[in-house]
Amino acid sequence: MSTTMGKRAGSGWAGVLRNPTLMFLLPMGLYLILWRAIPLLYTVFLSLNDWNLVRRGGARTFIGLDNYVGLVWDARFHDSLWISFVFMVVATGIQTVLGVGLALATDRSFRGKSFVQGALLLPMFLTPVAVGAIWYILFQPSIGPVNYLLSFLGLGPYNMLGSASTALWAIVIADIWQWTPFIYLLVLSALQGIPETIIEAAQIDCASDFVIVRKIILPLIKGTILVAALLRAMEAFRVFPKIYVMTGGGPGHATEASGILIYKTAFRFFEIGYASAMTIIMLVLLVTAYGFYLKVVRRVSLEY
Amino acid sequence: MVAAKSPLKTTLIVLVIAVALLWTLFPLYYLFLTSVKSIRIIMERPPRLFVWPPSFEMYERILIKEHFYEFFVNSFIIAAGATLLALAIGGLAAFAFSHWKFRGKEPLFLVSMIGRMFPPITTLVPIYLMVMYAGLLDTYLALILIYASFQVPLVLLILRDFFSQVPREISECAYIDGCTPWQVFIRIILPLAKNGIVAAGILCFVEAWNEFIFALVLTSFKAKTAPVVLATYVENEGTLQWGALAALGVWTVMPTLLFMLFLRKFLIRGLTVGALKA
Repeated sequence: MSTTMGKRAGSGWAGVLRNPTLMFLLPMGLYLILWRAIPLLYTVFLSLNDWNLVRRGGARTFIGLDNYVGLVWDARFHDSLWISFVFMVVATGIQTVLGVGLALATDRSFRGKSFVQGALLLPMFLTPVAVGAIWYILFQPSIGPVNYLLSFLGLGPYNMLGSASTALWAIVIADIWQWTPFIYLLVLSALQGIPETIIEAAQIDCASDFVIVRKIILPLIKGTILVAALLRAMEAFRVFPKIYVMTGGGPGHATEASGILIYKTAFRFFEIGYASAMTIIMLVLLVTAYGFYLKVVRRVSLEY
Repeated sequence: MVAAKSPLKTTLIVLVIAVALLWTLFPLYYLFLTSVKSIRIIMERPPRLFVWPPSFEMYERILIKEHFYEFFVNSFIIAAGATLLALAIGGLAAFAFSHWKFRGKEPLFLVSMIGRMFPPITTLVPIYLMVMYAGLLDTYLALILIYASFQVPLVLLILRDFFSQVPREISECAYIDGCTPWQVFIRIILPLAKNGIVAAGILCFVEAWNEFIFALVLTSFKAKTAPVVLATYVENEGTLQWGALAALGVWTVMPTLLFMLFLRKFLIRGLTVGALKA
């Protein structure tokens, strides 16, 4: 119906306008090409150039793959990838466990349910920079309560953000605070989609709650959990605002994740060719990792 | 779902919920608390967990005397502009995807979604250069155009879902009555899917308000947004002006808090569709 109907309705118009489908799709097509596709190709081009915006009057030289060769030996870049990876795995892992647990705990009827669920979701909508600022304050040795709590337990005073061995974990904690609600929300909506009758049938068969969760609920929501964790991991790998606010990549380079390093290379040292090469490597690694992950997900879901 | 029977289990669940609430709400409370403490009280050990009367001196100083309210106006204009633009562009495409069959529909939809999958930082450098060449550095327009490009795929995803819930018979009747697709879109689909438009719009607004890295790179003074001001404030005055820093933080999270209080249903609906349909 659609195409014929479309043609008849637009029969009087000229050119492109004769096809209403095209007319409705064209703005988005042009827009995404201009702002997403062209910049991406431009990044690839930039990565093949030696271009510093201030040095040598900002002259650009085509150098082929030299930037990539340089990256092979760049320990600082390797460290940044490792930091991003550790951050992604630890933060996503803990968020998934906590989010699923909380969803199972609150998916029942109780007084104040709406308030509790709303409150537990709140952090995920907050400005990441503000979340960074909140935890920056909380972790301060001079005014924050975390440090007071630590010294109360005989572990402090200790400046978590100021020490290379703990700064990353402080940022992980802030990330867990903000994004556990994301997993929680998606799992909660999946739980609400499970028909009551399935659970009731199991209860009639005298299955314990533990068995019900393990053998019935978890297999049913496994797909949702894996997708939620994937979406979260993609975001976690490119963490930027929290690190920028809480440590700026320091102390030393202890929390310098790839995003921070790319930003510094391009906008503090103005090496935009080299920064573009880093970007491309990061993108290739991400795409490979997701491809691999999706394969695993598919295999896991086939097992059941 | 699983009914709590034994008192032990009930107690355990109540305890879990209580700890989760404390963990979630305390950091926000402490931010607010720091913003209303006077300078002397801020430095007290152990940190006070309650102050009365609260002092709103910092809000006055930061927002009015130091003119920081201008940056919140900037943030508002940019987020609102990007939301409207993304709704317009994404809405048109969502109509085509939900109501017509055409060649290459599925691949085209997937390609539009890829835009959302790869990290924005991958286009940071080229977009900086493009904006610089166009002479748009430090303008509202640059950020509006860029944020809209991030949100268009999300709008498409959410609105396609809502538009396709409008019964087909209604639009078919309108075509028979001689309406053009354009009229069907404006007069029938949009009004019937207004919940979806609100949901998509709120989510766009929140994401545009929260964005940091592009605002950091593309603005310097005139079009600076709230998150950039907050981050640079931490960098420059971080260990000196705790109260002012916290007051800025409170203002930065304010729109989200208001949306959560009054329009939570839309926010959550939009987000669930946005995440799970991808």
